[in-house]
Amino acid sequence: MKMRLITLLFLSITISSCSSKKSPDEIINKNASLPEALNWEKAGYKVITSYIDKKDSTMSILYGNDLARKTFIASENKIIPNEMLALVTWKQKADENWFGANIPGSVKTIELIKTSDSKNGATSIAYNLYQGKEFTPSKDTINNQVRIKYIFSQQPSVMP
Amino acid sequence: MKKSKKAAKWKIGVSVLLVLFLIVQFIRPEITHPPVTRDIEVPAEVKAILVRTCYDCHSNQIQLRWFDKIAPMYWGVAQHIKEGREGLNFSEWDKLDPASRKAKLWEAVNQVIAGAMPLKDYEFVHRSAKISSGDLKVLKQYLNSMVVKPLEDTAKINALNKQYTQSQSTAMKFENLPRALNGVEFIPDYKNWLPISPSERFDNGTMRVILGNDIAIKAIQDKQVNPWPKGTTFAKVAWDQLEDKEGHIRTGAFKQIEIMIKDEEKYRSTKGWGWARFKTPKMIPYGKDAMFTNECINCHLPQANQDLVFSSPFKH
Ligand code: HEC
Ligand code: HEC
Repeated sequence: MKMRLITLLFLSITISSCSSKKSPDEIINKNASLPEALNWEKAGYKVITSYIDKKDSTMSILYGNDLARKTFIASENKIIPNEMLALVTWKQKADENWFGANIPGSVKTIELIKTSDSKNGATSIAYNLYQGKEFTPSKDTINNQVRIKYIFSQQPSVMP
Repeated sequence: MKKSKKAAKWKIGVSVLLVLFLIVQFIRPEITHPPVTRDIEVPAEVKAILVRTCYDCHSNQIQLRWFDKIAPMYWGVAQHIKEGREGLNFSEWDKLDPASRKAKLWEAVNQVIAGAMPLKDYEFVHRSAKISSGDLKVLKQYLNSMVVKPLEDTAKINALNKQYTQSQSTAMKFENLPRALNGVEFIPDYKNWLPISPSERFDNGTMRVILGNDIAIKAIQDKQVNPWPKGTTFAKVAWDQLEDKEGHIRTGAFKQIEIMIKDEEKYRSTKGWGWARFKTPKMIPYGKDAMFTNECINCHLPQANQDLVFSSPFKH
């Protein structure tokens, strides 16, 4: 211990390593942040799964409310009313703090799904696509059915 | 008259210092010379860089220069060698399994990129130990050449399916919460936290989601993230990557969960954070004893300018 103290003393003389503290603005991933309009916490979204698309260099997190998550985990392949899902997809970027990792760059799309009771007893599915951090609603509906099917076909991640 | 008195005082002072200097030369902590059991095997150009810049502290082939042998410099050198070898020893590469060897190399290059290694005071006196941008390029290229595509195979898929069925049937309940060897407990509620960042780790074929508790999420919203407030807790979950032919990667088997809890007083001895790692869905505590935290701290240390945290959190 004494040895260590003496050593430290001499080391502190030889080095004057001034590591300047990073500001919160440098730390928080601003481009990857989600629009406030979504009121994320209130919606009670939890992580269902995440995935990566190497071809597009994107990464995604699928969120759901408690009911949606329960239904996904039970994997009974049925869609029931009052499920809420959100799929956020980011462009990937290299992690500046770790050579060997990719992390979210800017928000690419946000897809929201809400299921509800319809009059004829079937469950109706509302799907909305938004572009980017600005949360611009997309008018293009061509892929809606494909996307709905795709999102509901995801397997939840094992989270013990 | 006055002048000569002053000179005499000076002389005495210098002599005392000289004697002290000579005396301290006899205080010599031991530097051991254990045998090389197996030297790291890497391409020659990579090896040359490691030998020139790291071997004086991370090997059993240490070359002391004359000025390294003079106390007090010598004490620092001895301490560096002792601690350096503990964390990484290129001369005892056989002590690590293949996966750990790879992980150590990525860690090593990352410490160089972060400017943490070679130690600055050492570099200051050993000019030849400086790593040039050309050296760094060689190291990075070598690591990139080791990356393997995490293609899915039957073994990986079976491992996932087994875990998956189990998780559905039992919801994996624990009678007693698993506890890391430093006493930090597993926190099952992490599943209900919001994520602060996903990460694709192509260095080791895993993917992760880092989640934060309410305090962490609020701190991000309030921009109070350096230092993080007391009670901030992160959980990092790691899975195998399962890549299909279209380059679509999903989460495979659950590998481990890691936890960091911020509390300056309670966790003073481990840099203000309570660390824990649990492996497999059985949540087996990692390490041999409570000192496993040294590993966590040493790798997280280059992030000291952001409270030892790597992740750049996104805001909800
Ligand atoms: C002057 C001695 C010295 C030199 C030279 C040096 N290191 Fe270190 N290294 C240390 C000490 C001491 C530690 C442990 C404490 C710390 O992290 O500061 C360490 C820790 C490390 C660790 C963390 C090990 C762990 O516990 O997981 C890595 C990785 C590392 N060094 C890599 C390197 C690489 C790569 C080089 C060459 C480019 C290098 N070091 C050169 C002294 C040195
Ligand atoms: C070889 C380096 C290394 C070691 C050793 C290491 N970590 Fe980390 N840790 C990282 C990196 C890199 C990240 C950033 C997320 C990612 O990409 O995986 C991270 C992130 C984390 C996070 C999320 C918060 C943050 O800092 O971003 C936790 C929690 C964590 N580590 C816990 C631990 C614990 C507990 C240990 C020891 C048992 C440990 N780590 C050992 C490299 C390391």
